[in-house]
Amino acid sequence: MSVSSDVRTARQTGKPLIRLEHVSKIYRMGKVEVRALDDISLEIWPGEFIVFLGPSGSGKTTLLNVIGGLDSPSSGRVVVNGIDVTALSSKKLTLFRRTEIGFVFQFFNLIPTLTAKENVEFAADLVNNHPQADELLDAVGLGERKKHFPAELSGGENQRIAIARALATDPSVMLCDEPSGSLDFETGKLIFKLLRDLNRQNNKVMCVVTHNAPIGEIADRVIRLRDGKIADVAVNEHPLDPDQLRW
Amino acid sequence: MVAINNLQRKLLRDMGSSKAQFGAVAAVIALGIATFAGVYASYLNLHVSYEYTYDVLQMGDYFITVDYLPERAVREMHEIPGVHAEGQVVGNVKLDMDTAGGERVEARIVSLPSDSRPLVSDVTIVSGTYFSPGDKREVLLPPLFAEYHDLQPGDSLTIEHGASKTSYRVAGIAIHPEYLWVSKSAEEPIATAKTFGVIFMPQQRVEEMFGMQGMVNQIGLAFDDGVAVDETIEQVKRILTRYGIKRFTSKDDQQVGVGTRKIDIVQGVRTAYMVPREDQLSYDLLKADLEGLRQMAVMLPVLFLGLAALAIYILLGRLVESQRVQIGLMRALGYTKAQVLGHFVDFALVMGLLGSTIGALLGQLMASALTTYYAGFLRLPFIQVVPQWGVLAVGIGVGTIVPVMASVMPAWASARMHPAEAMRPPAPPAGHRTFIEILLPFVPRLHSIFKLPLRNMFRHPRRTLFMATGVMSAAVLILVSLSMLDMVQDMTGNLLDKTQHYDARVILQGTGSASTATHIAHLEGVEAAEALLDQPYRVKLGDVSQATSIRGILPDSIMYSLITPDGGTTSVSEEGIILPTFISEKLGVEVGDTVYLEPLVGTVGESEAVVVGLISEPMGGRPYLPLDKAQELFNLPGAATSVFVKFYGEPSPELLERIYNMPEVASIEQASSFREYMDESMGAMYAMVGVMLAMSFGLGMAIVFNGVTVNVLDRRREIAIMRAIGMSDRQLASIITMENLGTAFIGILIGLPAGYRVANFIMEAQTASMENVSFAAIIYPRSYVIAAVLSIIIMLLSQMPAIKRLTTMSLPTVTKGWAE
Repeated sequence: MSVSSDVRTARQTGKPLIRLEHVSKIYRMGKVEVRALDDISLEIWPGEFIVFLGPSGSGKTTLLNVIGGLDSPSSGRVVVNGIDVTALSSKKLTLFRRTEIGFVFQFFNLIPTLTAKENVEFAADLVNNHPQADELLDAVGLGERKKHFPAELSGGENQRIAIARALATDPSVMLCDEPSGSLDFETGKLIFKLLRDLNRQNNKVMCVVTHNAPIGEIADRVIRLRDGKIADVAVNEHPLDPDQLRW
Repeated sequence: MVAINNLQRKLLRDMGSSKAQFGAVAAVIALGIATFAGVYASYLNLHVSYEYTYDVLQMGDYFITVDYLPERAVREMHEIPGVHAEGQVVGNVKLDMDTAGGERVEARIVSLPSDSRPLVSDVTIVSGTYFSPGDKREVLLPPLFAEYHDLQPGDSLTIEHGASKTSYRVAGIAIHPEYLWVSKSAEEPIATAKTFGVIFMPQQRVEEMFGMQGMVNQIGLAFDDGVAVDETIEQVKRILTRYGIKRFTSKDDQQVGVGTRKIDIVQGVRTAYMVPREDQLSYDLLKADLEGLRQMAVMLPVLFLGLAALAIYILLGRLVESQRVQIGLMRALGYTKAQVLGHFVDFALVMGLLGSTIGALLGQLMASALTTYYAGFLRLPFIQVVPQWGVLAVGIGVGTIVPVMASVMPAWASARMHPAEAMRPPAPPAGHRTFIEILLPFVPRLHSIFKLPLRNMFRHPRRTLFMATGVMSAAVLILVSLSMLDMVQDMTGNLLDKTQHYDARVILQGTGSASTATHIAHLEGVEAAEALLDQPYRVKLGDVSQATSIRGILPDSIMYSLITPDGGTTSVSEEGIILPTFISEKLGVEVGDTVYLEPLVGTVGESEAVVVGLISEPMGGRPYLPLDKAQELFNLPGAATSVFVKFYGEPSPELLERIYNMPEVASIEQASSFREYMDESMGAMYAMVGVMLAMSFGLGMAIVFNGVTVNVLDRRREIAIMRAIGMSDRQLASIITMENLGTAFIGILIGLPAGYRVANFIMEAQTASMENVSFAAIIYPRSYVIAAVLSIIIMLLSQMPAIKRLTTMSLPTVTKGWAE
């Protein structure tokens, strides 16, 4: 598999979908100051599959949260799809997350008292003209399990519901924080295959955070973080098919 | 079918998964609203029933009591436009009940027109008929009196007056609006049918009996709509003045100068006592009783709803905490703060709507039962039980608004959560020595079964405080319920053991002679006899006055003790008057102050007296003077109205008959009668206290169950790990039980003093509207012990479901953290 031609074209001719300018995030706990992000600048192009790698505490999740508007940087600017996220009010930030971002979490974060279909609809209810929950669940291979509750499904199935939910509002960016972190190896591969297929078919920007280095092989670009800074950016001219992943 | 969105679906299913907890809170709300709706609707129904009865029976609007007045004066009043006047003759007799002991019953005879129905204050005939035409020896009896003495229409009744005994036929059983509540006087509001009754007799007969031919001593006035009452009363007063009445008194009078009164004494002033319907004795007593009901209707629900609000605040706080990740997710997905806040407020809204609707409906049923019971107790002839939609609406409204208000703070906390922080697990609490470990350094050396519970209690103070509040609530309610029983027991104990040392009180007909006491004392079988003299008086100071009855007793009486507020005893003194505390507090007087004494009837004028002592009397409290001083003040030398008697053992029927047969004797009231009356009335009291205890238990269990369950569920993982490392179920249950008992101990420590304060508050509120009685909360030590023990039982029972859940939970699931 090679880098998608759309991505290449976008890089060469278009505007980045996500742009971070000198973004820092500092946590103060009494006299102690923790720089979770330290002057990060980067651009992400439409259709890119990005993997953020780094050890625990390197700032990967914080970076995802800042991009997704879940957290605000202490300084710097974040622009997503032309929207200056850092300048948004709380209310507008909510709308931004609703329409532009789809989150996938390590522990799925499904509502335990809603069925698979209802969990997807839980997000879809927020927007007009949304994809149908049935179609989304079919697309992630859970057409037969719509009426089951999360406790009745496996980890992989739960994560697929979470992915379907993230797609329910048709976002331009999908942010995935350790999506295979609580899954076994084979199931994890299935999830990455799904994410990769969605990225290629729907041209959605996919940002995946992981501490598992081999996963970087399926990305268009791998951005390594260390101590809140970008340590390295590597372009994969020939990203690996998820089926071929080994870790 | 109503379409609901997924947020609402989540709400309902979240409630369903914790239905016991939410159900418990809804039950508390339901109890509170049911109490309000039931009791307040009963109050309204009874109020309407009373007023309807008064309207149908044309109860008078004004009542005048005089010594005597010609009937033509009544006719003149009747001729005033818009006025209907009816004169009556009222007097006291005794009834020979034809028993082995020669039992006599004191009775008040009230005359009714012989050949027509009264124009003012008519009767309704329950069974039998009104008087037959012509000069017949007939009487009408009120239902309770007839039932007690097993008298029916057609039976005969022997009336003694003076030296004569005459048999009368019971024509019918009748209800008179002025005697729905039968009492001797305002100072003796409770009268038992065993010793006192009111009977109705044709006017001609009563006039003959009391030598009042052509005269009346009581007048009832009814006004047409639109009559100017004040002007009309002035006209009536002018008529009375023309017939020799010089002074007019009423229930609340202004002070008149002592100088004027001294002249009145010399000239011999005739007095008329005039009261509007609101101050008529039966009306007033029923109104006060109803007011007590109304206050209860408000006080209890406030208590219940206050506790429900606290439970909701804590429950939702816990829910928000346990759903922090879901809250973060909702914010991440794009749900607004308002939607998140509204979601958690909706929990309270559903609980409130459900609880208050059920409560309101239960309350309606309760109202019907309570109204019927109350009205039946009084034999009220016309009972109105209607759905009180206003009460229902208020109940549902308040029962919904209060929970919603209680939910605002926790819901606001949920909306304010930062999405990223909400989805991070909370940082583990910093380890530190707890307060108890600092206070008691030996705690770390204790066995785990004591150490862990102590540490847990003080490591989570908010959690511990919430649980303690539940136990405290139960302790408060149980103590308040028991205080009612203790109060009644203390009252009867005080009256019968501390104050009353006599075996019987012989009531003389009207005002008799103190020498009757000497005659009685000389009878074989009588240990001692003391005369006493009662007269209706008003005690005044400035603008404030209290109508009462002053009693003259022997100094150092062996029959009756005067108990001071600090529990000691005192005696009447020649230096002045002894007042009950409720009068001294009302007038704002202390020992050493001067008060003014004004007779309510008769021709004696006003005088003054120094307060020489204060006493505490729970019921029918009255001022006391030495007997000779009272005789002098009342201008009744050598007089007595009753005699205290002490017997050697149980009096024989022959002895009682000899006393009954004495010319001046109207009836004998045995000390045991009051206890019997209280025992009979206690049935209703026990039922009410039983209901209150059941409600206390239910409320306490609902609150504590919620607290324990939330407490335990919060620590599932911790407890699962303890089980995983080998702690037995029994050890686990012991640790949790020890912790809960420690928390219960804190709750009890706070709850018992709080319960005393609440009981006092309720008692003060209940008696605020009752003029002649004063009740302070009495709580025996045993009640504190019972409340504490029951609170512990509530805690132990409430923790059982949670402990069972803990010991049966799936360890792999909980330790994995899936089952949220």
